Amino acid sequence: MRQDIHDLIIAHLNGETTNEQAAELSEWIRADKTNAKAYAEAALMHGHLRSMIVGQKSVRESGEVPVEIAKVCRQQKPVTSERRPRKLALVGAGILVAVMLIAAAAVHFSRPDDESNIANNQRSQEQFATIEQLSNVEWPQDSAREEGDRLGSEGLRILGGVLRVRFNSGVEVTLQGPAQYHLESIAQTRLESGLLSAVVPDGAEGFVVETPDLKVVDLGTAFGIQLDDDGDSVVSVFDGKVEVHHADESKQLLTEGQAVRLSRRRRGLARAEYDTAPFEKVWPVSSGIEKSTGAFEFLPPWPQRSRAIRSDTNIYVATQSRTFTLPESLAVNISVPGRYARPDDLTPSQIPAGTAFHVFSLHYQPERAEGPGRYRASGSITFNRPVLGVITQHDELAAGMLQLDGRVAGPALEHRQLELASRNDMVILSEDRKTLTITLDTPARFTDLVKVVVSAPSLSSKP
Amino acid sequence: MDDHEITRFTSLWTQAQTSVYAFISGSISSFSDADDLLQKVAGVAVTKFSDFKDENDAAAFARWCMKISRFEILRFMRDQATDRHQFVTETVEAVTEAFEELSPEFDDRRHALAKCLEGLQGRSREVLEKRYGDGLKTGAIAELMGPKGGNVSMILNRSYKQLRACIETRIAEGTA
Repeated sequence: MRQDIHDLIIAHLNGETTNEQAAELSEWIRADKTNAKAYAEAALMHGHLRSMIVGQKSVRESGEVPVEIAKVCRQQKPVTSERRPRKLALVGAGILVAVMLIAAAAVHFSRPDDESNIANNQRSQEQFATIEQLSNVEWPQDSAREEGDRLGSEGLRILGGVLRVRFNSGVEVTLQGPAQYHLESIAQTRLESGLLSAVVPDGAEGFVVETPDLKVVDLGTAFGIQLDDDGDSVVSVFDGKVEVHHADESKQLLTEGQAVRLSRRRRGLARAEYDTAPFEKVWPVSSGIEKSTGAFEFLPPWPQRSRAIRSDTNIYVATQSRTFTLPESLAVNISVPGRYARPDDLTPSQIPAGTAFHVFSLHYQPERAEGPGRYRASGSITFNRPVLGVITQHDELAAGMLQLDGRVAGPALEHRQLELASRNDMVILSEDRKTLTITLDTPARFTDLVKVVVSAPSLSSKP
Repeated sequence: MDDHEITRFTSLWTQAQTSVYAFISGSISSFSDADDLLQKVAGVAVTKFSDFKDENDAAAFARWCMKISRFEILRFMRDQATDRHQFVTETVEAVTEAFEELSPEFDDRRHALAKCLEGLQGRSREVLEKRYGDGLKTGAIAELMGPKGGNVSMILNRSYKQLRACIETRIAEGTA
């Protein structure tokens, strides 16, 4: 094996490769079975080392068989000598015994990766959120964090950019800098300055954001808070309802499309104009979009639009805030990375029932409703999570509309599918499944519609 | 599960778990995440043990557990898509296939490693203990050991090469 590949394998097994190096190693493994075998041998040694050294350490420190196994043995009923196994007394309790033994064996491996075992066990128990996405974030010196970092009771301060945090409860908070935000517990937070939006799924109602002057209690589902430089606070409800409590003990119930302002100059809460414009930079990140190029423009998740926006040059991206988990499978037309320019290229498949996902609608409708000529727009969009499938054809669009929106498709939908037969439209799904490059070409009176199904964390999964 | 099944499961799991863990940690770089996944796989294996029919074939049991692990790894990767150090799905599949082909050698390789590890002493052993026993990364190890520690990455790489060469020799000679 080449020295550099050997070093790369070791670095990767120890979690010390860059994204590019991991991709290079990934490609090398897939290139040849002997490469995969070489990697597997190294990984096997790595895993065996871990279990041996931790096991030896455990026995050294305790001087005996791990406590949990001994406890299980003492709990067993006495057995006749003919039935007693040679190694451990494994009688009674059924599956519970097996699970306890497995847990005891697994305790050999329960070692955290950071500096101090005790400190990190405590830290991991107190951590209740994860930094899910960073977009051009500027950090104060020496305080930079990374995507995937776990958070506990601590403050976040950003000088610019947009950051999204996901709590273990499924609540997602997106911050736009400059901002200071303090996480106190899984359901209690404080915004010192800046702007945030919060999406609160079913079951996580009661999530609280306090500001210097207000307390906002979410009753489901999405709201935004903006603290401006004058010290004024504006709370806007995008979906569902929230309670806004003021220091003078007054409170107001706000529903979708309503906003209140607390002015430092004028005391008390006052109704404000509902305006989602201040949150424009937040929408893509809160929706899980990393970046886009070309013709893409983002529509805010709220208000939900019933009529599409027309533009000769822009492809509009709309998303719903909710996570779907369907009881039946969802049909898609594109399911694997590749280039799709002809009907034969399509890779129809089914997204299994029970899969958690978000849906993004890409919509292109030229301004002119009639007349000759065709209009074309193209661009690429990168999601924070993998694309599970893309729906481009009429039958699947109609089925999806019924399953996702509860609506029956009208006759116009037939003209909204991609025209792969005439080679006007094209879709490319990247190898890592996160970037979609699209060219949409349509006559004046028609519209192109593409639905992108993107993986979402399920509420039951531990971040 | 009756008593016989519990005994059978525990025996098989005891033999297989280090290799199953190796499979998991080959795709998941964080020890703590790999630990959690191992526990999850163990739980699933207990629940589905009645589906495993190959009496006391430890290698077959390890392969069966790896099939369960593969599913959990892919689900974990999907849920943890923000961690860009994970492999793409096709790579996990390639590694799974390689592990399945390697499964007849699991025991021999583990025994060989145990013997070879005995021969590793001094700073090399100390660095391995800190990396695998305490879960420290190379930077933290270097800080702890100070200048006397030397270049920790180089020591680790050299140790791996020595152990790998020792394992291959023992397997070739049949002295694992």
